[in-house]
Amino acid sequence: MQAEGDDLPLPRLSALVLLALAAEIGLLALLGWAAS
Amino acid sequence: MRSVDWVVLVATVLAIVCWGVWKTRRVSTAEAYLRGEGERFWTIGLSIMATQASAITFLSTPGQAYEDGLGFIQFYFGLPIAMVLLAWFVLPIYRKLNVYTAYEYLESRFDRKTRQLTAGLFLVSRGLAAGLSLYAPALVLTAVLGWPLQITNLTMGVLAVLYTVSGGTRAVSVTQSWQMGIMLCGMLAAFFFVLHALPPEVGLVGMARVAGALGKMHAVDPSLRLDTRYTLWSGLIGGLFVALAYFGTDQSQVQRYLGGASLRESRTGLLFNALIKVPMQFLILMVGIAVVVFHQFERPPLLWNAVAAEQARRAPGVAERLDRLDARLAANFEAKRAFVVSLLHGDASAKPLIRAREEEEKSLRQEARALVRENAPPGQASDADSIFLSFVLRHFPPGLVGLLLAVIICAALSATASALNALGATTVVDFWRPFRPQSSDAERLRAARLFTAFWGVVAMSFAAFASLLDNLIQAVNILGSIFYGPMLGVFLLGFLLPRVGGTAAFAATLVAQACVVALWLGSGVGYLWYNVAGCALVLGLALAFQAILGNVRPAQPFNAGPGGLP
Repeated sequence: MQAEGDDLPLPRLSALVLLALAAEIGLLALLGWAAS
Repeated sequence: MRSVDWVVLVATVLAIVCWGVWKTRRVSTAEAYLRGEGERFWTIGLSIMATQASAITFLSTPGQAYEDGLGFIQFYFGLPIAMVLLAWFVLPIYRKLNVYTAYEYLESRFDRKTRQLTAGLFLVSRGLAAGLSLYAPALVLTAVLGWPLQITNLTMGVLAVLYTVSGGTRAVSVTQSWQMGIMLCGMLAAFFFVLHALPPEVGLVGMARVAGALGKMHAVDPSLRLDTRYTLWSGLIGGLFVALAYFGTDQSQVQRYLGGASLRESRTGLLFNALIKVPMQFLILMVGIAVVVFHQFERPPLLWNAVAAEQARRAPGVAERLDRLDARLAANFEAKRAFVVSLLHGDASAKPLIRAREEEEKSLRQEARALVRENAPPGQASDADSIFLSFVLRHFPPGLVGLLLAVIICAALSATASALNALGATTVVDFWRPFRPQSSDAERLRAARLFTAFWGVVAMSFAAFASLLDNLIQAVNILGSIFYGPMLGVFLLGFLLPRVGGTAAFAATLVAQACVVALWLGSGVGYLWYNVAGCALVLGLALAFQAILGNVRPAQPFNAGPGGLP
C-alpha cells in the first residue's frame, strides 16, 4: 500500500457529479415532455 | 452467422483473454493476486462499469426499452450519489485498514461471527449471480443462434476461469478495460446503424416524436406509488441504497477500487463511473427505442424467440392460433404505420390512434407469448430478452453482427470474472485464512487460485441447472436486493452507531435477512424498496437488541489494525 497523499479536489468533483445528475434528470424529463 | 462474424467474435474474445493471461504472467504473490498492482483511475472506472454491465444488461435492456420505454433508467439515478458518498466516507476507511475484502472491516469493528455471516451472505448471493451471468446470455444465444446451451455455458465459464485463476485481480482489471471499450463501441455502432436504417425523413427528432407517441419516452415518473417498480423516488432512494450496498459492500466491486494505486486514483475511478453510468444506460436504452421506431416502418415478428415459437407450433391447434394472431398483427401494423406517417407530416391528432394501435400490438404479443409458454418445453429464453439479438441477426451487416456478439460475450466474461475473483478472495481471506494463520504466501496464492477455480465450477454447475426466469435482468437485480439491504445495514451500523456491539449486529442481520425474504415472498412491494427495508431493519433491530443486552464500550468507527491478511 502506498502513502495516502490525496490532493484531489473532492468537493468540486462531487458537486460536478451531482450537478451532472440533476441536469440528466432534468433533460430526461424535458425529453419525455417534449416528445409526448 | 457468416464466417466474417465468427472471425470478429472469436478474434476479439480470444485476444482479450490471451492479453489478460500474458499481461499477468508474472503474478507470483498473494498480495498481487488478491489486490492487483496499483491501477490508474480510468482502469478502475472502466473495471467498475464492466463488472456491473453483465451480458444481461446488453441483451435485456434494449428489449426492456422496446417494451416499456425509457423508465428503467430511473434505476440508476441513485448511483452517482452513492459514488460520492463512498468516495468521501467509505473508501478512506477501507484503505486506512489496508483490507483485502470489505468484510475484514466488520471483524475489526464487531467480531469474527459478524464478518463471516456477512461474507457468507455475499458468497451465496454472488455465487448464484455468477451462475446467472453465464446462464442468461447462453440461454439467449441458444434461442437466437441455436448454439448448444451447455457448451456455450461451459466455453464462457472456462474462458473466465482461465484468466481469473491465472492473473487474479490484475487480470480482471486489464481485460475489463478492453471489454468495456468493445461494449461501448459496439453499442454506439448499433445505435447509429439503426438510426441510419430508419426512413430518411425520420432522423433523430422524428425518432423521438414517434417514440413519444408510442409512450416510450417517459423516462421520469415523479409519482409516489410504492407498487410501481421504477419511479424517480424509487430510483433516487431505493437506487441509492442498492448502489451503496452493491458498490460499498459487494466484494466484486470493492475489489475493483481497492486495487487503485492511491486513494486519489480510487476516488477518481468511482467519480468517473458516477459521471458515465447514466449516459451509458441511456445509450443502451436508446438502442431499444431506435429498434421500436424502426419497426413502425418494417413489420416486426409476432414472437422474437423463434426457437420457442417453432416448438410451440408443434402442439395441436397452436400453429393456427399463432397464424391468426400474426394476421391481426399485420393488419394492426399497417394501420399504425399510416398514423405514424401522418404524425411525421405534422398531424398531432394521430398520437392517440398510434397509442391505441400500440396497446393492441402489446395485447396480441402477450396472447402469443402465453400460448408459447403453455405449449413450448420449459427453460426457454423470454421473448423480451430475445428482441435485441434477434434484431441484430435479421438486420445488421456482416462484421457488425460479430462485434455485437463479442459485446455480449465480453460482458458475460467480465461480470463472471470479477465475481469469481471476489468469491475466491473472500473465501480465502474471510474463511480459509483465519483457520491457517501460519500459512506461507505461496500457500495463500495456491489457495486463492484453487478457490477461484472452485467458484468457477460452482457457477458453471448452477448455470447448467438454472431454470427459466421471466426477465433476466430484473431477476438478478431482485436477487441482489434481497441480500443487499441487510449487508448495507451491518456496514452502516459499523460506520454510524459506535455503541452497537457484535452480538446485537449479528442477531439483527439474521432477523432482518429473514424479514426481507418474507417481504419478497409475501408482498407486492417493488424490489428496490427491499434494500431500504433490509437496511432500516438491521439498524433498528440492532439498537433494540443492544438496549436489551446492555451498554458496550463505544467502538471507534474503524479500528486500524496491522492491515493485510489477518
